[in-house]
Amino acid sequence: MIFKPGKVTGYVIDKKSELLWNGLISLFTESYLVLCVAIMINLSRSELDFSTFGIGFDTTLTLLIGATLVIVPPALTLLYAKNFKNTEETRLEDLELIDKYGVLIGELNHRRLSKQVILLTPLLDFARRFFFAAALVFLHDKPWAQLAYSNFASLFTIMFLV
Amino acid sequence: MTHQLLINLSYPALLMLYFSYVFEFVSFDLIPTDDFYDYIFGFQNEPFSSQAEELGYESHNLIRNMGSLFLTLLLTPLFLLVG
Repeated sequence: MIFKPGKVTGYVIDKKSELLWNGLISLFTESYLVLCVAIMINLSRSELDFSTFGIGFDTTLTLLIGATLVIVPPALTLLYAKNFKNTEETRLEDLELIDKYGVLIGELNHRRLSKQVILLTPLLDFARRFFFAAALVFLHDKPWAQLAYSNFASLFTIMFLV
Repeated sequence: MTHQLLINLSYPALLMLYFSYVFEFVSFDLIPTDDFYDYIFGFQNEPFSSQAEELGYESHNLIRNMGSLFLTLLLTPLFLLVG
């Protein structure tokens, strides 16, 4: 058997390209709720603390990542929309689109081919987690409100996934 | 699912223990970094609530609560640059 480095290199480059986009988006998506809760716990203190270098760095990072958590989901949706083909037949067969942003619609029921639903589902998923984290932290004294939001958000999501 | 336990209700101790282990995987916190962060950044840790403490949010500080995820975020750009 003859070793062909070209094939291996091509495979690795393909995988690297896929990981670069889907890997980064997946890391961000999976850690979004953890980051939201951690940031909101930090912000739940009465005032921002910059007393020492370490705590000041932590507070600055909180503000930066907090801004990222608000900005990135709409930005991802816009990028996704920009790369979105208009015809329904090609939408789920567009390999370039799936390579870059496929992880965003991986769990979506593919019977729902409406452009708006496909584009808005990841955005709503981010919003659901963001507000869930806010409910967990800022409504800590109102467990009935936390439960109500949790049930509502679950039912709302099920509508698009089942 | 694991974050549902942050809802301010009473839970059986075994359930909390089980999900505290699950949470380490969910939050990508596989490297024990707590003592390291406390030493480097000088955090004084005060948990947000007893449920949060059980799950792994043992402090009000972001870096401490992120655990290994903070290292991952630091190293990702490095990997991208090297790659």
